[in-house]
Parts: sequence; C-alpha cells; structure tokens
Amino acid sequence: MIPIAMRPIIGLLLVLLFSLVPNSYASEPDPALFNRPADRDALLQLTKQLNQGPQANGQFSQARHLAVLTKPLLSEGEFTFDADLGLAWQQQRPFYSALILSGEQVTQIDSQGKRQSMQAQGPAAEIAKLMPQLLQAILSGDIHQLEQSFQIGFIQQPQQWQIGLLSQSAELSAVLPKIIISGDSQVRQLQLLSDNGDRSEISFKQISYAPLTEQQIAIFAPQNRQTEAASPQQ
Amino acid sequence: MNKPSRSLTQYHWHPRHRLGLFAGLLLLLVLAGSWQWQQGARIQSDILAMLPQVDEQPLTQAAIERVESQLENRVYFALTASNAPQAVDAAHRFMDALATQSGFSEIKSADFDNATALNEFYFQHRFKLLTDTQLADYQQQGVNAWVTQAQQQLYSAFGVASSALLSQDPLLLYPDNLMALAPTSKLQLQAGILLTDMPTGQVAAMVNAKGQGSAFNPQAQALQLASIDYAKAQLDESINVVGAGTLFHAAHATAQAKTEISTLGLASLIGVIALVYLAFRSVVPLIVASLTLASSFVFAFVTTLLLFGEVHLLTLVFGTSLIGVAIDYCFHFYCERLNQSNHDAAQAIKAIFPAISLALLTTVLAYVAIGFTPFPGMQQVASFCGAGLIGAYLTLLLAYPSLAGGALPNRSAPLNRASAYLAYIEQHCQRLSASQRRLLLLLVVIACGMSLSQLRSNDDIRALQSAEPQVMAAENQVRQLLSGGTDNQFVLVAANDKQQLLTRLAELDSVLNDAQHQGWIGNHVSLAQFIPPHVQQDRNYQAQQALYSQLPQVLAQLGMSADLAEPLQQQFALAKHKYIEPEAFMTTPMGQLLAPLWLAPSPAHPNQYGAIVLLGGITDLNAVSDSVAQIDRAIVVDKVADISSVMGHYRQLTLSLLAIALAVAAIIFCWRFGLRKGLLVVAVPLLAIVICLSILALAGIALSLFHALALILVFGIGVDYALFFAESKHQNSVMMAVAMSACSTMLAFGLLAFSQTPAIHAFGLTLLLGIALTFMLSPLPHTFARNLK
Repeated sequence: MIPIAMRPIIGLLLVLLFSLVPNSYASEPDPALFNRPADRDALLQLTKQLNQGPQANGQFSQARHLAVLTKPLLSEGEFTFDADLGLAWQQQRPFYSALILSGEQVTQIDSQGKRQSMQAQGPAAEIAKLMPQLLQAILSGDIHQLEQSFQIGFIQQPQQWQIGLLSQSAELSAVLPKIIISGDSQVRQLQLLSDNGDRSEISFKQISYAPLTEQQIAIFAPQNRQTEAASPQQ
Repeated sequence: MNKPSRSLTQYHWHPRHRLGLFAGLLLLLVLAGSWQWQQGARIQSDILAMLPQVDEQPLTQAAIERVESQLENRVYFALTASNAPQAVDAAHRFMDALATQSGFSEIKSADFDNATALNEFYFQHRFKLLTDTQLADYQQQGVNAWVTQAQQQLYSAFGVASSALLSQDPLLLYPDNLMALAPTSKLQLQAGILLTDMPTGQVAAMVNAKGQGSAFNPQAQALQLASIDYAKAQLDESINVVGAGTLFHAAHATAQAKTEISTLGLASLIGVIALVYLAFRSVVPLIVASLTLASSFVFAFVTTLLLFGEVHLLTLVFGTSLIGVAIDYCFHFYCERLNQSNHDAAQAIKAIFPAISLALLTTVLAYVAIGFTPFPGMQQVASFCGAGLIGAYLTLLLAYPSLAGGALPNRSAPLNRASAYLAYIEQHCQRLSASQRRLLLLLVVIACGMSLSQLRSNDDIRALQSAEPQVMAAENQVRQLLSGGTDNQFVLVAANDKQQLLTRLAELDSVLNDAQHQGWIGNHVSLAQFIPPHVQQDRNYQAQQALYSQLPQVLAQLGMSADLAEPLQQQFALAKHKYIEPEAFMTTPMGQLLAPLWLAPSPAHPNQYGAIVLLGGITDLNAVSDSVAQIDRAIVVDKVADISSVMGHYRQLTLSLLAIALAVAAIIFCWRFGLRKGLLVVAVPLLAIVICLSILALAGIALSLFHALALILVFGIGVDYALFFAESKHQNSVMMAVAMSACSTMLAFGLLAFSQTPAIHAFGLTLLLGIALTFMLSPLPHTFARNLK
C-alpha cells in the first residue's frame, strides 16, 4: 500500500525509456575495445602508473553531441579531487554551475547560485556519483571497484591506451551503456556514449597532483554545500 | 428466619437422590461442553474480541475497516548484513523460505516495482502536470525560468537530458513530476529488495509479509512464528533478523497470559489447599473443596461456551479469581460444622442456608451489573464467574449432604483464634467513646475526601497491553529503518462529488506537508499527488500553454532543432481534454496499490465520496488534528482514542452501577434488618470501596475501567461477609469462615496484582486492597450493633 521506494527506480527508468530511440549521429568506438577482455596485469600496471597521489585538480573541457541539438554544447571548467573530501566539478563557461560530492552528500549549485543538496541515493545522485567514482578509480588506480560494475576492455599501444567500460547492470547500462577512458602518461579523455547516439566527450588538461590549496579545500566546507536539506522536488 | 430455608432444604429428597441429580447435571454439562468443543468452540485470545464496540459514521467505519484490513497482521523484518549484496541475498533467501511455509502471504520487500507502467500512464498527461516549484518559478519569471533550468541540465553529461526525452519534453519538466510521485525515502532498491544503511555501517534489507489469520489467534500465531523461525534458520548466522508487528506483541501477550494462568492459578490453588488442610486437618474437606472448585469451573466454562460459543483467554485469567469466591461456601459450611460438631451435613447446610443464599443473590447481582457493560470480554467474565458461583452453590446443596457428612477432627484452635480476634476488636471498640468514634469516622471521611479529590483517571486502551521492552525495542528499530512506517491514526476526507473530494485532498496535502515540515508527522500517503483535481490540471496546462505557443523561439534559444516544434504543438493541443481521472489511475499497478485509500459511494449513500490519507511517524496528533480541521469535512480518525473514550464512558457507567447496587443493597438490608443494622451492614462494602479508592488516589494510580470492575466484585464480596456476620448466631465460626475466605480470595486476586498485564494488575490490586479492607471492616457492624444495644 505504501510505495516507499519508487524514487530510485523511476530515475533510472526515465533514462531507459528515452534512450531507446535510434538515430544517425552515432560515432562508433573501436569495436575491438569492447570485444577484448582486458589483460589484467597490464591494466594494474597502468593504474599504478596513473596513481600519483591522493589528490588531483585540473581543467576540463566538455562537448555534448545530442541528436536534437543543431550544434554541440561546449563547456569548460575545473575539477578538484581529494580521496577523503570528495570531488568538486565546477563548470565556468558558458555559465557557472557546480556539482560537489562529499561523502554521501551531493550538492548542485546553479548559475544563479541556488544550491540543492541531496543524499547520494536516488537516480540523480546515483548518476552524479558515477563520475567521481570513475575518476577516483582511475586516479587512485583502483580497478577493483570498476570491476564490480563494469566489464572492462583494454587496449594498450606504445604511446597511448584506452579503457572501455561496459555496464554490467541493467540500471547502469540504461544511463551510461559505454564509457571510454583514454590517455597516455595521464588520463586525457572521458567519453560517455549512449545507444541512441548521444555522446559526451570530456577532455582533461593541466592535471596536477599537488596538494590542494586552502581555497580548493574550502569548496568542500559544509556551508558551501549544505544549504538546503530538502530534496530538490520539495 | 428459617422460613425460606424450609421450603428448599426440607424437601423430601434423600441425599443420595440429590447427589444423583448433581452428578447428572454435571455429566450433562460436560457433555454439552464436549459437544460445543466438537462444534469448533475454542479458547479465544484475540484481545480485539473483548474490546467494546464503537459506534462510528458509516463512512468512518468503512475507512477504519479498510485501513485495518491493510495494516492488520502485517509483519515487518529487517535483515542486517555487513554489506548490500549479502543483505539482498539474505532477503531473497528469507522470502523464498517464508513462501515455502504456511502462515504468510504477500511476502515482499519493495511495495512497488513497476515504474514503467506508472511512467506510461503519466507521460501522456505530462502537459497537465507541474510541480509546485515549477509553477512558482513560472509565476515569478515566466517561461524563462524553465528555459534557464533546461539549459543547465543540457550541459550536464551526467544528467537525464537525452535526445529522446528532449524531443518529447524540450524543457525537461516531466522528470521532476514523475519523481515527485515517489515519497521521499532513505531506502534504496537493489534487485527488488529495499535496503537501508544503518548507523553501525551495516546494511539492512526490509521484508514484509501479511499474516494469514489474526495475530491474536493462537493457532495462526504459532504457525507464523514457526515459519519465521524456519526462514531464519535458512540464513547465515551473521545475518541478524529483527521483526516488528502486532504478531510479536500478541505472541508475547499470549505467552504471558498462559504463564500467568498456570503460575498464578497453580499458586492460588496450592494456597487454598494448604489453607483448608491447616484449618481442618482432614483430607475430606480438601476433597470436597476440590470437588466444589471443579464443578464450579465446569459450570462456569460450559455456560460461557453455551452463551458465547468461545471462551476468551482473559476470561480464564480473570476467572481464576473465581476460585477465591467459590470456596467461600465450602469454608462457611465447614466452619459451621466445626463449630457445631454434633450437627450433620444437612443441619449445617440448613444453618448457613439463608446467609449463603442472600450472598449468592447479591454477588450474582453484582456480576450481572458487570455483564451490562457492552464489553464482550467483561460479559464473559461476568457470566463465567456468575455461573461458577451458582455451580458452587448447587454443589453445596446437592452434593454436600452425601459427601461432606463425615465427622471432622474435633479442633477448636482455629475457632478459638477467631473468637479471640473478635474479642480483641470488640475490646478496642468499646474503649472508644461514642464521640471518639464519631471523630474517628469524621477523620476517615475527611482523609478520604481529600485523597479522592486527587483521584485521576486514565482510559487509554493501550494500558490493556503490556509493552515488553524487547518487543518494543525491535519494533522501534524496524520503524526507524522504515522511516516512520504507518500509524493507526489516519485522515478521512469526505465530499459530495469526485472533483470536490480531489480538491480537498489537494488542500489537505499542503496542510500535511506543513505538518511534516513542523515535524508533527514523519510522512503521509495520499492520492492527492497522483490525481490532481481538474482545476489544478487546467492551471498547469495553461501555464504550459505559454511555452508551447512560443515553442519555436524557445527551441532556437536552446539550440534545438526547429523540426521538433510542430509535432509537439500538435500533441499539446490534443491533450487539452484528456484529464488524469481516478478510475483510470486505479487500473494502473500503482493505482491498484493505492486503491484502498479511495472510498467510492455505497448504494446507501450515492453522493458520499471519501478518501483516506495515511499518516506515519506521528509525534503531535493534536497539532495535526487542529490543522486538518481547516479543511472542510476532513477529520483525523483515531480508533484508539475512540475506544479509550468508550472505556472512560463505561468506567463512569460502572461506578454509577456500583452506586445503584449500593443503594439497592441498602434498601434490601434495611428492609430485612431494620434501618440502623441495615445501614451498618451496607457500610462495610461502602467504606471498603471508598477507602480503597482513596488509597489508589494516594498512590497516584489513575483509575481505569478495570479498577471500577474490581470494585463491583469488592462490593459483592463485602456484602457476603457483612451478611455472614449479620445472619449468623455463631460469630466465631463466621469470623473463621470470613478469615479463610478473605485469605483464599486474596491469594487468588492478590496474585493477579502480580500480573504483567496492566489491566489484570489493576483488577488484582484493587481487589487485594478491597478484600483486605472488607475483611477488616466486616466484624465492625456486629460489634457496633451490640454496643449500641
């Protein structure tokens, strides 16, 4: 009689329902990437090499290619990561917006400075958590966590490498069926591909593993993220 | 004085014929009882069966039945494991194991897992939906507010914005509306299992099931508990299972009642046997006493079965007190024989006949008074005790002449002790002058008056059941994990047509959201969010009209393809006359789940629509009731409070009955003994009751119906004792009989005061006090009367 836990299902469902329409904008990734089981030793070697410290920060630029858009949406910003504090993803152009994940709390800040906090449960938060988890897994070289949710493909060439992640669970594959991470000595690009051809490409620049500045740490301070306790709908 | 006895005691029946009649009667009753048992008569332990009927409005009654049938007998489990996969696995195994056993149906974790159907239903109505925030944003900033928000979502690579959704809902207004249909909850869903994180870092999986048959039915209860044990045994030892629900309270209450019947009943029996043996030093009185109790019990049990078709477990618990009263006749008989050792049984019966007949009459009258309370359980107690006493009385008249005629060891010690006690009292009374006595009486009256003014009452029905700390702790833990659960109180909204009802529901929803914000309630479940009234749907449609009339510009602003505009505008126009209707909603899986909340008009009341809103985690019911009262024809239904107020009503009624019974007794006694002696005799139960009430008041005990019912028995027994003294010429044998009777009655009732069940405890404590007081007061009228001469 009491629908206690519909929220998680509904969010995933939303994405699932609207990701089934095929279209022509699709750009196929290297099929070999997803057909080849990863050489686990080589992968571990790579993650060890990528893991340069418990924190990282840098710039990102993002391009979203959506079938319904006449031209791609371009944005830029910076990210700040700390294994203990969490991840702050701040878009600076064309307008400011931010996503801060700390512990179980997800805070969104919009262009007008309006903040919304929610517990990292439910679909929006689930998806929001995915990015920091991915980054954390890659930056800290922890592929065990990735192995729980994804089937991992791996191609290594002398100068560069590609990791392909194929969602294991129905829920996750509805949101993000395919993810490709590529780089050389560092992580360079993250591609999110959906089955209907929508595609997001995120490129990383100037990644630094230096300890965070006080200013960067302050982003995670509670007063900066916990302003509204209520969930966004209320 | 012996006139009435002659016609009955001197009829021409030989003692052996009387015994034959008695044996035949007893055999008949045993046969009737066995036949009843064969017909399916059972011992009923459903507490609800003994509660009084509450008269409610038909709609309210229908609503209460709906809510009860939904919530009743549901059992909740929290399975704690160290991580989520283990918890999910444990929940599946537990549910599968439970399903292989009998006793439970509707075993599930998530109530609802068909979001696809819900989405299909609401997506077609998306042009009629807006969240409060979306509407407020529009009212402040127009369509632009929506455009800005859509833009931000478009840029997020990790959001819900996909081409497919955007082509149907370009400003992404729909997702928030669908999400708003799900009540906020901290629970997550994994593989169909509800999970919640615990403060300890463990993960709990929530499972619930509906028990088949009442949780208060001992058979159903045993079956359900066995099934739960079996299911638990299928799990790893590391998994901890905590259960909550009426079942566990009922199981505890049943176990407790059973233990109390056996321990208290046994202790009472042993006490009485010891008392008889010590007084008479012969086995025959013991056998006769046992026979009296046995036949009294057969009378009581079979009569109750014949009248009610079942015997309530609580009747048996209260009924143990019958032992104390039924034995009175036996004691009175033997004390008389001890006193007049040259008399045979028939002569002894003849001597005590007027006293015990009058005593039976008054006591049975007292039980009849109890029987007038419309409490099914109390009616049973009254007929059980009344029939039992008649059984004991008949045993005395019919069986004693043949069985209890043997000579008794000639013992005068107990009788001497009794007369010494009487002499002692008399001596002390004589020491007081008339004015001193008046002063003493005045002091007692003032003291009683002062403490009676402190008397409080508490009619809360929850006092009926004891709260076992362990059961409560488990319940609270599970409730907390479920974020509140659902309470027994709910809101009922009525209206004359559908749209009026839906409008009121919508108004109520904002009131309840406020209440939730204030912390008065933890959650509420209403149809309001699922079926907005037409007015609201029209308002939402009109707001979106502003968007769809300028759709090409909006699409251009967002950088979206202009081709989307035309089909969308067509869809929007088509949706104008399509509304979300209750009937259509009820056919969806979600609607079927919530259908019990909708009360369609009955043939008897064709214009009466009703809806139930469930409340959970209530912390301030009064505040909620007050704010709900703002809405037309919306009320908080609280059956617990209703029953409690009925209990309060019957508490007052019982006390009035008591006053009437005292008045009637006074009239009878004055007619038989004259004004002065009559009043002195009735003063015994009266003073015992008043002082007993005063002591309760001084001890800070709040008066309930059960105290009042016990006082009715105090009255009956007080009348007994006073009459024994008033009617008898042999004061010392009466004193001994009264002392033994008081001892045995206090053994039985006093032991009830040790019951863990608050209601039985109240009953027992009051009787313990009342009988002790009666015992102390009963010789006084005689003493005073003699002194006054």
